[in-house]
Amino acid sequence: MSLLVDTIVFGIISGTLVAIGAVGFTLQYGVTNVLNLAYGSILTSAIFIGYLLSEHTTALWLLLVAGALWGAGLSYLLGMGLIAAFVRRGTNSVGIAIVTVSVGLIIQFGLEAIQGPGLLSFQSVAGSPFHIFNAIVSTTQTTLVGVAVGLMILIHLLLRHTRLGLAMRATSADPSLSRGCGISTNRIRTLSWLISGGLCGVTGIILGISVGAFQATTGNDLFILVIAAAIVGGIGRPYGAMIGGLALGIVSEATAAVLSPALKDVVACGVIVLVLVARPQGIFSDYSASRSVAL
Amino acid sequence: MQFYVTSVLIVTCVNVIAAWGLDLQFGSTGINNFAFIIFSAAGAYTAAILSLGPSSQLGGFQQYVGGSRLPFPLPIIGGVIVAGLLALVVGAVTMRRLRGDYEAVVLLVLSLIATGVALAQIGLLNGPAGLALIPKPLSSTLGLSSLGYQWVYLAWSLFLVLLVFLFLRRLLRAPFGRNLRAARDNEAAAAAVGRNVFSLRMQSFVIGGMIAGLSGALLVEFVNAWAPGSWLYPETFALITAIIVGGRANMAGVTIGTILVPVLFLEVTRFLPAIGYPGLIDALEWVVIGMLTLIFMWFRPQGLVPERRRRFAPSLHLSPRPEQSQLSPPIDSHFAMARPAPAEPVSSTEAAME
Repeated sequence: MSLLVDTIVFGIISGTLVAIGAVGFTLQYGVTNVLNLAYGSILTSAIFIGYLLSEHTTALWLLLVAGALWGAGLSYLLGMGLIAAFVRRGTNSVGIAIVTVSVGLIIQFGLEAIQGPGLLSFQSVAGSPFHIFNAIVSTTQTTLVGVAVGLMILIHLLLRHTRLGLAMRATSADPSLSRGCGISTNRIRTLSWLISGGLCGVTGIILGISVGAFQATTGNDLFILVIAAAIVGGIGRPYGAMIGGLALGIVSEATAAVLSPALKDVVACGVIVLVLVARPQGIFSDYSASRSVAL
Repeated sequence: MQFYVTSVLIVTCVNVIAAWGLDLQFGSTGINNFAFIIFSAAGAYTAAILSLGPSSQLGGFQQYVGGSRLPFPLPIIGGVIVAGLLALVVGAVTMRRLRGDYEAVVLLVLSLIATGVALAQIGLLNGPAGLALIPKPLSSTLGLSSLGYQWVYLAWSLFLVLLVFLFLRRLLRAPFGRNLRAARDNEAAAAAVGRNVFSLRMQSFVIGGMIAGLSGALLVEFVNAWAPGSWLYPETFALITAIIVGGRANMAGVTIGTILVPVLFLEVTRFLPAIGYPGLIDALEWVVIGMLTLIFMWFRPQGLVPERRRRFAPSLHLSPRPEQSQLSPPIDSHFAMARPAPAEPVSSTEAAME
């Protein structure tokens, strides 16, 4: 019984983290149709920003806001600056994927060059521990879960209950028709890069605080799970990513608890393969497989 | 000095073989194999295990699955076969009709996960420490000095380079190669004239995987150690950068790119005096490689030596009329978005020829 509670509690904690990262990744993909493989590196850079700030302040909200702003700014420069320029030049989706990987490599190894060898450790904002049944969690952890859930609710409200969200969903479904209806798709794309980067930054800060010690590859470690969650939920679909992230978090915590922590990766791999095998045409083929990169 | 030069040359041979294997998939077939390095790793681990002997030897200081001590060419052949089998399994899952960039991202994730599994499962391949003390093939039989052995190994590597070159050239000039390019350039057209695109891509994926295995096995028997740190996902991008810089689907171009990028950047600098802390140069190299990719993707996406525009049988009426061919742009880049079809796509001409 206590094992079950532990698994669910920690599954939700790591699941919300993956889910919020996956929402950012998949939302931007759905609107712009660009696979941003630099996402993991942007995430890591946000951890570094949080680390630099945490030497001056311990206010959690300040770190989260700073991370969000940093992520949004970087993501905007990447998406509306570099990638838009390549798209205007006529680079296709595979070329864009290679461009984003290169940017990811530059950021990741740039950070590594600045940081030097070894791990950095966050001046942890530990909070006070308390029990949920038998699982010991800290107030910081619950706050962070609360932040993540709050952001997901915000995204939900944005998508379903505002004209802006409607415009985003329309652009995602059919960019040219949306343009024909008078939606400024360029503004929507800008917005989606900003939101995606902001969520990425917040995810980075939460990840940094939860893992404590980090290095230049930490963001990419989480990025595996983020992509897996996005694929499971159907890439380009924010709600799918939320469910996928939570499911993946709980499943991987369950594996760690029941079998061995070392098997987490194997499970992530198994999930991806299962999804790909179960939907032979690819889980994405329904609406996004045939579209070209949006401009 | 001789030692250094031979080492760099042997590593060059390894990288050239690997880059050709990747280019068969990435350049000629259009498979975005962002997981190429795991097939190389599979070949390397297999060759290592098949020449190390059972893991209980030497007081069992490293653990791994299986293990036997096979005579010289067998470990390499084993590596090639295992890499091919791995490609068969991975290809069966990923070579379906995924859009190009999904395929790339799924393979990238598989590469990351494979590293994670190898790191976490100590009993499988000795975890993060990796395998060491892999015997040099035939070193006791030949009884050469270590320098003499370097030259022999270089000759052996060059022989394999030649073998792979002849094989790939034959393959790419044959109807099979034309089919691959047809499937790459216009999948629907290739399918419409009766080519089985899935099967073509699968064959290319497995052959490329086997070549990757060969390169890994050749490398591991030279450096005598192999660990997850040797096959992290950026290694694949060093090769992809080499192909982009050199020129996709052009063996000469890929060779030039390989000498310029992975060899000059990653290998030669390894022997330079260190500045800063250990690892700083490595990190900076990767930054430069990333920038190099961006620069080439922007200014010269077709690479230094672009793919030849192949023409067949001008007497047939399939080739475009001269005034049209002046209008139609040359194949300038594989990274260009599909334009409204020019006069006559080259590839469908190729496919229709058979």
